[in-house]
Amino acid sequence: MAYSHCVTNPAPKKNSQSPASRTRTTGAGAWLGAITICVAATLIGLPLAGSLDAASLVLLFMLAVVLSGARFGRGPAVLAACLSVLLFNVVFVEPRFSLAVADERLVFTLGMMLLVGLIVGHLTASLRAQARAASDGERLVRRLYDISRELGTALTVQQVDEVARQFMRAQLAAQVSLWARNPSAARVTPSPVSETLEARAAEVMQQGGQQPVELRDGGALVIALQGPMAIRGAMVLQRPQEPSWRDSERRLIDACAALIGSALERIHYIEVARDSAVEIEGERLRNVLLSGISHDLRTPLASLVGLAESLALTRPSPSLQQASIAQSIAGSARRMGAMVNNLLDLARVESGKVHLRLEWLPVEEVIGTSVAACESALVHHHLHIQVPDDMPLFRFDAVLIERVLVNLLENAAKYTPSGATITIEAVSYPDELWLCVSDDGPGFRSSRPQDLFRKFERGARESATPGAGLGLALCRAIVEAHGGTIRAEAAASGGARFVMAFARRAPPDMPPEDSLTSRSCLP
Amino acid sequence: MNLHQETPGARVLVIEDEADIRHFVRLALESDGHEVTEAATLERGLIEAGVRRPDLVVLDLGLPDGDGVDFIRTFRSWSSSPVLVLSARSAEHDKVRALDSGADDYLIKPFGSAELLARTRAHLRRRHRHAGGDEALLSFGNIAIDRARRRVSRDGELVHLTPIEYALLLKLTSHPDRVITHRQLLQELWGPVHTESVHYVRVHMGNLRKKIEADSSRPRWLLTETGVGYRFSPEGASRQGA
Repeated sequence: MAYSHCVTNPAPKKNSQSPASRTRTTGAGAWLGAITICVAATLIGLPLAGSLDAASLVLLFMLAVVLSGARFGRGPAVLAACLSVLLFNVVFVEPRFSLAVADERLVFTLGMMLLVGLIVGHLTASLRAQARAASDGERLVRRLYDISRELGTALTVQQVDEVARQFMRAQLAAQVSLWARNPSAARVTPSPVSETLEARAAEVMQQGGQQPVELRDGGALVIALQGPMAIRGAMVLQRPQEPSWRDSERRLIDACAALIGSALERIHYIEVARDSAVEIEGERLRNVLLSGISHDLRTPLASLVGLAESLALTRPSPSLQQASIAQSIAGSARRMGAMVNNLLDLARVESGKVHLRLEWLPVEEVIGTSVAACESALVHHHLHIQVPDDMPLFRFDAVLIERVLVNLLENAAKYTPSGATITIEAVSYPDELWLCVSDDGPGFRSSRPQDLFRKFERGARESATPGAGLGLALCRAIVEAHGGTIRAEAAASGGARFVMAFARRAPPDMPPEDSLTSRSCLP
Repeated sequence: MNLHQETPGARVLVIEDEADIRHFVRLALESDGHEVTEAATLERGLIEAGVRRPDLVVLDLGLPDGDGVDFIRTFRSWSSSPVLVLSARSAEHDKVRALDSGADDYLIKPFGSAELLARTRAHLRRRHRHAGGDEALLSFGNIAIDRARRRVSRDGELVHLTPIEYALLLKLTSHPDRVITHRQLLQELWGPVHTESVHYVRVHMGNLRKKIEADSSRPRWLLTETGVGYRFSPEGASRQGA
């Protein structure tokens, strides 16, 4: 970075120290100035000595003291007060050009003159110091105002970094390194910083703390950048030339740190808002795409099924062979439709944004609809349903769980010989409710049945059994979206068994019978 | 085909933007002896509905020029003819909306001609049955409901139903073949406050099935329409139209 060596540039250094020199330097010039003013007062008084009385001349010297105090501060004012008394005594008091005092009353005048001179000089110098302090404060406020305005317009972490660097370089001749915790990256400004400092900065960012950490060697300051809600980053200030920090500088640095922290927090929320807007847009796009695909794929499939089946209705009636071809076309189209459904459902559920319509329901209802939906696939199998009478209600999305059950039942029908028994079973445990589909077929050929839940995985490779291997992946996605688990295992009968486990929750309230709005109508 | 004699030459209006689907729906319905009118848009559909006074409407929900639900609302303002909605799967929300607006039934695409004809026959039959008037005695399978005396019997034996179960049974059986949504049942039995508490209906429905059905997890009469509601099937037909 071009700014990393800014410290060696003498111009900003001089600039930064000029206000300090004005307030604090009381060099030989000031003392000399005080002496000059007193001498000038004496010289002005000399020609007037004849026509003016002593009191007026004293006032002339008081003026010299005030001027010295206002111009050069307390020390020179004290010098001027003493010098004025001395010069007045020597030059204007009889006997002139001697320290002796002829009139005793004038000794009192001289004493008063010294006392008043000291007091006036002190007050003037205090006033001057206060004025300086006020203007310094005003300058500080203006600087903070400038930096806050610049930070207010910053829209990226880089811009904040830029503003902070320029400000610290101009005001304190210090070199800044900034760390931010914003989502756009924990962006570290590339600058020469020792590993110790970097570690301290990371520490400060983690822990925070009101007081800046001051490292003794090298005099670096490590400051947490505290935003209104959280710590937003850390800042390291280094000034090798002048390692110690004055109180006024520390106040300035603290104020800047707070401003930078706020700016970083603002940018943090800008980024969060932008990211979520992007996410919403992406989600919208995905939904549009999915519903577009579903419509575009399903419509021709629906036509295919319908038209193939209508062939049988044409006059004259088709031959037996033609009818069976039409039937095959319809059957294939239906299977393809089922695959498209699985694929689209999987995409929908896996996007993680599917809206579950969670409802309490007796599991028999879903079992009933699932069995009805694959009635034709199950005609050559025995079906056995076991649901205890006191089975608690399940809480899930009935439509999606029906998809799972239908897929499992169709799988069971597909992979077992006709005449096999398929069992659907619901079991309640203290913490879990299980829904199992098992069969007494040949079981899993794979030694790792869990792999079946992966996409495009099938029990037997290259088998003639149709199916793209999406069904079980969809089952798992749906069950996991419900916070449940699904596993495949060997059944006691040696066949395959799929177990869905859902967390058991407190059942919902049921209103008493008399809450009916319609009249009681007991049979 | 004695079914033909039950539903002679009804006027059916098919509102669907896909020409292929319209075509096969027409083929299927005409093979059943119905007179079919086609419309590709909602606007055209409303005009045809006004002119032809159809006995049944087959309506696709996703029309290019508007929401099919709007059609149902408008159509219901003057006609009580059954409306059969065609909808994509995984659009339960749309189906429920259509049913709540006055549609009678739905078919999920892709559907075959057999499913279509089974549904249209059932709904057209209802039209004729209505003419027969409301009898106090209703029976299906081994179940008899005496609505005058509020008695339900199974194989001649009295079945004890709770008031809610009886009300549920009555509501479903008085609208045969029609899909009644959860919301409609909740509204009627519990009032408008509880329209989100679907589990009330489900639990009582489960109990009712245990008393009415031979196998409550494979119901014959009181069928579940997943995510939508329930349907009473007087023929005891399974979904596959056995």
